[in-house]
Order: sequence, then structure tokens, then C-alpha cells
Amino acid sequence: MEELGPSVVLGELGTILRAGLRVVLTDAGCVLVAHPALADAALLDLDAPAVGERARTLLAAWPGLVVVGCSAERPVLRCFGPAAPPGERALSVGTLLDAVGLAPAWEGTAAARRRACSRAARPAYDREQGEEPG
Amino acid sequence: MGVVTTATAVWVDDPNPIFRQGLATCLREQGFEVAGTTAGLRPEPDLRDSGVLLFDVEAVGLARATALGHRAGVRLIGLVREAREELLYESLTAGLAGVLVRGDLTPERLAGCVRAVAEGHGALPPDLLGQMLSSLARGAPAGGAATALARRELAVLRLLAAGDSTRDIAGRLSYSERTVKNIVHDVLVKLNCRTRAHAVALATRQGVI
Repeated sequence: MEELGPSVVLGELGTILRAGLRVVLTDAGCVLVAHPALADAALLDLDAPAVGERARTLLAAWPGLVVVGCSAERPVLRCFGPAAPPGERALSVGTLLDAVGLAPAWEGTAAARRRACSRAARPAYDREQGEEPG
Repeated sequence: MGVVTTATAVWVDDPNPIFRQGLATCLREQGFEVAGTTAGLRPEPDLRDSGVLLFDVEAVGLARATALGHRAGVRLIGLVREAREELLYESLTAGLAGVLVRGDLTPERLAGCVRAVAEGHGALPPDLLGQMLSSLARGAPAGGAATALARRELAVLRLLAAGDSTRDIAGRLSYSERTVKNIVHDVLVKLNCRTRAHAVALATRQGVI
């Protein structure tokens, strides 16, 4: 059976960056999903002023989620979370795919987290985002 | 200047590989052909089949991009990180036909700018043009080539500066669109400008509009 790549949710991103991410990620076999409950990784706008806070919120709700900030202004990305490498890294298709779940250091956490957390954590997450739990 | 359709080929240069992919994707979705992509114009692209070069001004530098663009006969659009007046002047005097601000960029703005530039017009962020015109109106020196413009040429230039299209200007001044295009052509020749935006900037700087 063909194994699907990491599932990724795209956060609030500019339309140009989002278009680029969509193509790069799907070409590499990632699955784009609409909600963090279904995702192995979340991509945020690294240029947004509150990106750190947003990453902390996501990680608090979904401890195993891989959270990655991607810049449209500069060719850099940054991984968030306790296990993430510190600082910014050069942004390339390779480093992006590594960051969202293809690198050995990240393997294993996402699928397990998704199985364990998705059903239980989604209502709380939805409430936090001001949405009706669905 | 020939009329170019949405099949215009665009070369996309940007140092950010994901943003570059996004630019290319959005252009294709809007009906443009993407002739190729590079980062930092390396390796130097073969622009023979391109009508427009879209590039990041800070990453490449105006001098290098304009030299390459002029040599290849393509029209240039610069992506800038912030809407600064000085940068706009620099860009226009270097011969850029369009400027886009990265942070404000949407597929529609991108397509509108590329389409306008491909058709021989200029395209500038409206807020930036407004700032520039205000500041020039406060301290613009008089004189220069623009003082040689005839009254009807100045009238057309003023309406161009106000953002009117050829059709709008024709309507306002009771000319045919063909006449307006001829007047604009004469203005560009007299001022030795490559684009309408460049002519507006020059005439404004020289204090004649």
C-alpha cells in the first residue's frame, strides 16, 4: 500500500507564499489538510508579528505537532517547539520538507500524535480558536 | 510597442524558492507563460523568449537587472520589500516599468502589473505614487525637458498622474483613444522616457505637472 507523506496544515499565509507551498508540498507527496487535528505539521508566516505566540498556542494544544515558520520576505524558515533546532535555517525545498516531517529527527512523532490526539483534542482547540467544535 | 496578450512570457527571479514557486504558479493560473525561474539571476537567464523580467530589487540590484533587461529588450518589474519613495525614483530612472511591494502582493495585483507592463504601460503601487507626487509637489525644481511639453501633452500627463486610463483621458479631453496614444507617444519621445510612469515621475520632478 502506498504510504502517504506528512499531512500539513497551512496557517495564515500570504497568497503567493501559500501558492508556492501548496505546489512544493503536494509535489513531494505531502497531504494538505484543513485543521491541525489532522496534521503532522503546521506552517506559519514567519514574518507575522505574533508568529511565536501562534506557534506556542498550537504546540500547547497539539504537543506533537511540528510547527514551522516560513518567510516570504527572506529565504529562511524556523522550526518551533522544544525539540526543534534553534534559530533560522536557509529555506530551500529540501529544508522545508525536512522540517515538515521528512527528516529522521522528526519521524514517528507525527503519526503517533495524530492517532492519540486528533479526536480528543480537536474540540478544545476549536474552542480556543473561537469556533464551534466540529 | 506591440500589444501583448496574457500569453506573455515572464521570467521570474527571486531568492526565496517557495515564494518564487508561488509567483510562477500564480502567473500560470492567471494565463501567463513562465519562461523560467532563477535566484539572483544566476545562472544568467536567456531572456530571448521572455517579454517581462520580474525580479527582487534588493537581491539582484537595479544596475545588474536593468543591464540584462535592456540588453535582452525585456520590460522590467521590480519586487521591493518596502514602499519607499527613493527606491521608486531609483527604479523609475533605472527604467523599470513596474514596481510591486512583496508584503502587499496578491495574484490579482501581480497579474495586473504584469499585464500592464506587457502592454507597454507602467504599473506602480497607488499609495507609493501618491506619496511621491505629494512630496514632489512640495519641493520639485522647475525646468528641464518637461517644460518643452505642449499644453495638451501636459493635460494628458496630469491625467496619467491621476491614474486615468487611455480611455478615461480620451473621454475627459474629448479626444479619440488613438489621439491620446499619439500624445503619450510624443511625450515619451520628448522626455526620453520608456514608460508612462517614468514620464509622470520626470514631469512631476521637474515641476511641470
